Amino acid sequence: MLTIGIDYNEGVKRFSGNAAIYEKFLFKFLDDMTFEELDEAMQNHDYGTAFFAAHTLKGVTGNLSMNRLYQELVAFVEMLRNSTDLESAIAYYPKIKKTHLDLVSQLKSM
Amino acid sequence: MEKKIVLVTDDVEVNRVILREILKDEYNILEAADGLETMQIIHEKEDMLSAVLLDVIMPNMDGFAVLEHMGEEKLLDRVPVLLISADRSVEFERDGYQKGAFDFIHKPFDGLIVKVRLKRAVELYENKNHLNEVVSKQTELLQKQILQLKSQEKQLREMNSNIIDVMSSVLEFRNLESRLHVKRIRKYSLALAKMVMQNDSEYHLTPEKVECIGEASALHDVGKIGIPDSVLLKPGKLTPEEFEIMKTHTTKGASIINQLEWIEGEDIHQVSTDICLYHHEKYDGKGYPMGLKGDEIPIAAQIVSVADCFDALTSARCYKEPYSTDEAYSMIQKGQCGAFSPQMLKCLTLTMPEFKRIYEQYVDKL
Repeated sequence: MLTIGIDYNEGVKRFSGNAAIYEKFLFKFLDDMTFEELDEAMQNHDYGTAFFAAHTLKGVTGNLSMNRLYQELVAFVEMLRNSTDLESAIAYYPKIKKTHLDLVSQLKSM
Repeated sequence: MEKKIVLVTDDVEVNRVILREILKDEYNILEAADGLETMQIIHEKEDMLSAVLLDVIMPNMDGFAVLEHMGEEKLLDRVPVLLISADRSVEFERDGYQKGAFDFIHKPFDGLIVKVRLKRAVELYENKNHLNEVVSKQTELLQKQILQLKSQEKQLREMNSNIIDVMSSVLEFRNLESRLHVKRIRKYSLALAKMVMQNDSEYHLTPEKVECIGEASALHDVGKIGIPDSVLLKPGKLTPEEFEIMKTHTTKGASIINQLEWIEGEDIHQVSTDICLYHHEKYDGKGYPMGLKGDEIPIAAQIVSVADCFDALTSARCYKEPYSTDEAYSMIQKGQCGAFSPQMLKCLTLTMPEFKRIYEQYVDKL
């Protein structure tokens, strides 16, 4: 699991050792529409909505120990916060999109 | 012991589930997925909630708005709120504290930190709420006791009043005084005592003491009960021996008062004794029974003495017509009824309008 940017052991621990529930929510992440919201907002240059979506995703990926995507989102959220650094955010976004795509496709193949 | 109830709010299910997994062994968990649902559960379970874990970014009213509502409804004094956020900025925490959050829980969650923070919040508020309850119970009890004391005080005062009424009606029954005389003495004494309280702080009169002087003044001649009718009701001038007997109405009055041990309250007892014993003392020491001078004469007795003289002068006797209030006033000022202190004379001057009103209202109708 470490290979796709997920710290499985840390995640299980966060769910108080309940691996079944953790795994259930790992796969439920595939149905989560927050990333689609983010993607749409970025395309529409609606950076306010993008901030909230990224912020929510940051919380979820952190809690699910999807650490690679989480770390990228931490940086991304700060760029979007109060539209601090939109240029960097726009430049950084494709990297996040790729990490998300990798994560999702690997999860699907499991 | 039953588990305590904690409300967990977050619009993202996985976040609620993690908190539930962390906390379910120690708490009963309620969940809400947005701000409105949060407020609804808070209102329904208000008295049972031990804490709220509150997500900040939620649809239909965010966490800060929920906090503000809770603050307006005085709920934050009773229930601790821990704000949940993926945000660790100082600005965010300042905002949270200012709006009344107790503490913060950060995403990604750490089981131990969540448990410890929540436990501390719950325990602290339990102690605080318990103390508030104890204090408000004790306050309630004290207020009840104060009310009880006040009603007892009122009963005692009424009892004293009754005693005074009974004593003065004994005098009346023997035709020694008229009911109106007693009433006038009370009114004159009360009015004059009020004036002394306002003008001469050296006598340390209080509104309570003033009331007391007014009431006790009715007893000033109670000792006359002990004077034989042959002396008391003698129409002509008294012989020196008879006058000596007459003078004993002061000491007799004081000893009657002293036998009334059952009059509760130091003040009324002392003031009544002073009035009976000393209301014939004079400022220059020429009065009786002790020949006290100046302010050796208790203030209550000085006051009643003026009232008594004024009333004697303005009342008819078998040997004289009544003087007018103005005549009586100037006779007292000139010392024709014996000497009074300058303060007393000044206060009489100031009280004259009131004395005239009392006279008009209670004058003996012939």
